[in-house]
Amino acid sequence: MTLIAQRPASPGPAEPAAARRRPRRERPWLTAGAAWLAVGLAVAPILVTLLAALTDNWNDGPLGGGVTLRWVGESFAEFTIGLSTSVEVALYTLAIDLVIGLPLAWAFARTRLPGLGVLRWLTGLPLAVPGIAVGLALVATYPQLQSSGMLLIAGHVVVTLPFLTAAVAPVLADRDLVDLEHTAATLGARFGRRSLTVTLPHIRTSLLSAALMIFTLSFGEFNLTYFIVNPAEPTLPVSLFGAFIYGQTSNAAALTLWYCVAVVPIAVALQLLGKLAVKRSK
Amino acid sequence: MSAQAISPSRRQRRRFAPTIPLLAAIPAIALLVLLMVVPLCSFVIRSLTGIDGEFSWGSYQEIFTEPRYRTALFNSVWLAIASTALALLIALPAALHLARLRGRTRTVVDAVLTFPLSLPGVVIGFFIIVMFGRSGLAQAAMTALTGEPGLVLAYAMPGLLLAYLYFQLPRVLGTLRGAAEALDPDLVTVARTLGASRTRVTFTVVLPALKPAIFAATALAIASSLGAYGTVAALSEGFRVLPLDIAEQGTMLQNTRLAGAMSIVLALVSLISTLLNDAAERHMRRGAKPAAATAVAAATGGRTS
Repeated sequence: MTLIAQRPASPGPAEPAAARRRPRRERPWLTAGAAWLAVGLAVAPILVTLLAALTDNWNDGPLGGGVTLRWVGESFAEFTIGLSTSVEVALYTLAIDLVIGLPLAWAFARTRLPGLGVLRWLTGLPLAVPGIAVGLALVATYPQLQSSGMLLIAGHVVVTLPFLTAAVAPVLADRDLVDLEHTAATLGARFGRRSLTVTLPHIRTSLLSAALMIFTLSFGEFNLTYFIVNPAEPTLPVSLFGAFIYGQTSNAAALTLWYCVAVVPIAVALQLLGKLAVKRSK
Repeated sequence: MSAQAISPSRRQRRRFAPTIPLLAAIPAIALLVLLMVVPLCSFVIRSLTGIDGEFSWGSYQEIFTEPRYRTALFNSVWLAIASTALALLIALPAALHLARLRGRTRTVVDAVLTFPLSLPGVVIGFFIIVMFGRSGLAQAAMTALTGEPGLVLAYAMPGLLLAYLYFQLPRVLGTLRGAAEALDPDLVTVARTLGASRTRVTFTVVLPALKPAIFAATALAIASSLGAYGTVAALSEGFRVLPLDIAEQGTMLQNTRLAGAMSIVLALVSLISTLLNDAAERHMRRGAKPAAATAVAAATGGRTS
């Protein structure tokens, strides 16, 4: 009530009347404009990249020298080399994340011990520290691991791990799940059986979207990767960087286009999963 | 009844649960210690060590006294703030509109807006080059229209600002959209039918409800742009931000002492921004009026005056 009493003092008397006289559609137009501006900003550079990739001689302007598939074809070999390295690194990262991260998420969800707060903070630390710092610190401490590619996977594991625990721990802490597991246990199901038939189906959606997220993050990681990658085996973003700095614009554009083609399926899958999760929670 | 049903099961759970998960977490703890704690601690120690192995603040002093590094730090900070402000300016109204979308349009728009999240920073740098670079689309258009090339924006501050905006927009939008969708449409309707103008509803009902999300988005956007390296590495020619200097000191010049000090300063700035946003959010929540009350107050306030 006091709130209502306070209100009248603030606005001038003429203002609301004027506002009411204004046409109704004015504000939707503003918000819609902003939304379409955001969409336009997101799409425009991708379309221009497509244009550059299809242009024979970009230095003569867009479509200078006509349309060609030359660049798209020529960059394919470079793309596949980077792609296989990136996929390999992303899969190793994902596998290690799952093996060490799921028990960690379990500990976060099911135990209440004093050290756990520190551990949670420690898991989130790689997100607070700039990627370059993590990369430089890793390569300064373990330079001997760089050439084998192990340092790269280690770095990716550290920066993606918080995403797994953040996605899975809340679902594991779900009271319904805990009760279900307990019911299964009292009915005689052992740990392995409980995990496979009760826990896993329950966390499936969030686990899957976390896995896709980790794969995408590792696949596109550059800030940290650039400093710890084995230079003889560049990942896709590292070879893209090389093409941007030293290469022809059209070649770089074609390589970027291939990169987009590679990540589209993952992005679509992530979105579908997100929608599934929303539907379920309703 | 339900409380009675839960409490005994909890007691039993406690008997077998805690030790096993903790044991299972040991590999993760070991890995985090080896790969995060040890390298970062040695980085911190090295940044605090002088040339003869003595304790020294020298590297930190150098960042703040050497004009080159001071400028880079300053550029990093204000570029992060400016691009975040720009992103919020676009994302706030956009999120309100997107929350209203339904059906196929929504699916397509969602896909388009989240796609940039899976692009590495270097690619975003290239986007700016292909749009505004020396042989970019904007240059070609200017040459075609006026006969001479215009200003090349890509490699200096405007290009960097645009690039930062590009990678922040999907992050900020993503954070705001959830809040915009959770906004109870009845509140807006109530305030409107009680006679509050749209502008008034926006400022007294909608924006206050979005405030926590706005702070979260700001913290996220500032942190991600402070640490951005790929984008600037692909773009910048002359315009310095701190990550570029960190990379240069750490690799080419092999000055890990200074690189470490710079990384820590950058991480601290990022931490301060996160803490400030958290504090602001908590302050807001403590002072927050119930949303329904503000909706009514907005309307009646408008009417009685």
